[in-house]
Amino acid sequence: MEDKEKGERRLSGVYKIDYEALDVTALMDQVRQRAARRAAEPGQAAAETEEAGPASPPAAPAEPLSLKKKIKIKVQRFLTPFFPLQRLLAFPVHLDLMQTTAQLHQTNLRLDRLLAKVHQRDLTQEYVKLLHILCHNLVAELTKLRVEHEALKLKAQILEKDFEQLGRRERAMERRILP
Amino acid sequence: MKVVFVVQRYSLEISGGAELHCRWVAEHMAKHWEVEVWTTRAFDYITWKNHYPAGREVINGVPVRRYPVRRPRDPEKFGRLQARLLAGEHKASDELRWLEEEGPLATALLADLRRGRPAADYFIFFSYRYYHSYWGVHTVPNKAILVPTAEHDPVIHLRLFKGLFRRPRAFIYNSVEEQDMIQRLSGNRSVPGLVTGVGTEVLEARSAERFRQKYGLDGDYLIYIGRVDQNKGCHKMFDYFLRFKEETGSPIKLVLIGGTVLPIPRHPDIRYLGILSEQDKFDGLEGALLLLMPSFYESLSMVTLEAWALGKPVLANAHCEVLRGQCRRSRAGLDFRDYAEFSEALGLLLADQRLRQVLGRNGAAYYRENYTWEVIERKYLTVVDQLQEENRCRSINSLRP
Repeated sequence: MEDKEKGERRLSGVYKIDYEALDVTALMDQVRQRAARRAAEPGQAAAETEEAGPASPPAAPAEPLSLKKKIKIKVQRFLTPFFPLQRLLAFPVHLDLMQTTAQLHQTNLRLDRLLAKVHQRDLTQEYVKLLHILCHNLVAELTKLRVEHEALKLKAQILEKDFEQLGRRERAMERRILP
Repeated sequence: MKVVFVVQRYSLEISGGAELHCRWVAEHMAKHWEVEVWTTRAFDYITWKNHYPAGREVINGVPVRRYPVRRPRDPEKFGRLQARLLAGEHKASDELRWLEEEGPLATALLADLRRGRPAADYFIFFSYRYYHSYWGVHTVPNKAILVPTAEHDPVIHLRLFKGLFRRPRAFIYNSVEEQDMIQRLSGNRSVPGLVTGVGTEVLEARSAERFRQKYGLDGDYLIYIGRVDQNKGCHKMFDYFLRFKEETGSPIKLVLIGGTVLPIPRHPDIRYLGILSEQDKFDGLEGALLLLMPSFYESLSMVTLEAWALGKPVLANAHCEVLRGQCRRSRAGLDFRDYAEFSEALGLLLADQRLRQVLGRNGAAYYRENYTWEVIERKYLTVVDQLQEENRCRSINSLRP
């Protein structure tokens, strides 16, 4: 029972749920985001497992440093605050800066050209799609017209035959009435 | 008005699928129309071997006419043919040969349809993928109403079904997703259709306590009802459930009800109870915290509707579009695509009792609005009334000069 209450408290902080007008889609988005976050953090899960598991063995003792290394480390520590100044005096920073700016400019130009090409290609694709739809519609319309044409032709033939029949009938009746 | 229901199998012994769906609808619509069922003599859906005697009989007040299956299906030959068909390019004649192998080869039924004896106003065909329904719809397209019961099955992409879906006078779909899928595949938007589904009846006298005592269950449990089968996603369900327990240390149990064709993992918290009576099934559902529905392919899922009717939330497989859509529309269930989502959603549902209650309440309301038999009957009547109206308009138009 206590576990349940703890769980509810834990989740109520994590999920935003409107119980009066429950939106399952929004809730599922939250579930998916949380699941994705959990899946994307294997380190965290591993760390949790390690915490729960047995303690790791103690690290091996480090080897003693030689006198030369000790002096080198001390000098490096002493000079650390002066490194930016040394870099400024020793290297032609402004030249580097100019070169980098020029390169960036070139890259920008290339990107613009590429974007223009992509835009052009998208336009072409759209035109091709439109043409495809147009062709499809034309084929459909032509098919309909052909069917209609056939039907009309058939009707005309029938009417022609009827007409002939009526003519024959008329002639026969005339012969009977006016011998 | 006389309406004939055409279905591949029909019997009281068949407890699920399109056949049960057809039986329930036929029995309920018998109140409104003169109903008859045309079916085969088959019981086994793998071979379609003739099992029941030919001729007429009455089942639950509905007259049933049984036709023989001319040749039973050879499952191995059929399997090879289907694999070849789905693997690559093939001709239209190959698809027709596949359909003939698929069966059931009830040619006498088709002959009666062709002769139009005995006369009927409409024929309601269940399941699109069988020989008798394909040729049946082609034989009487002007009187055919198709209940496709289609899933995201590879065979639905066969070319011959594209034509079939444009033939009938009307469709009765199980779900919005099914309608979308069929319309997308065949472009049959001009054929009228109504999303209907099937109704369910729940037992009013239910007792979770009786179920717990009878099967020696204590503590909270999730429930799965249906065939324990790989096709139903049960292997994933076992895997996810056991991982969830291992990770969280939750004392939750899983109760399984239904036949099995899959080995069930031996675990003290997984209880397989086999095929149970309706009373025990509803008692079990009453006591469960929620229903697990891991199936990848469902055209409706009656058990999900039963869970909602009882006010139980559902945790469903999101890879099944129908289940995901139903959960979203009803606002009565969550879904999962992989273990991370399963774990997160199940953890949330187990921890938040209020959420379970709200989801359950939404499910019960959704069931009342869409899946009680009054609603389903009304929808069937609407479809047929619309067709009658169309017929009247056509006859009036034909009289015009």
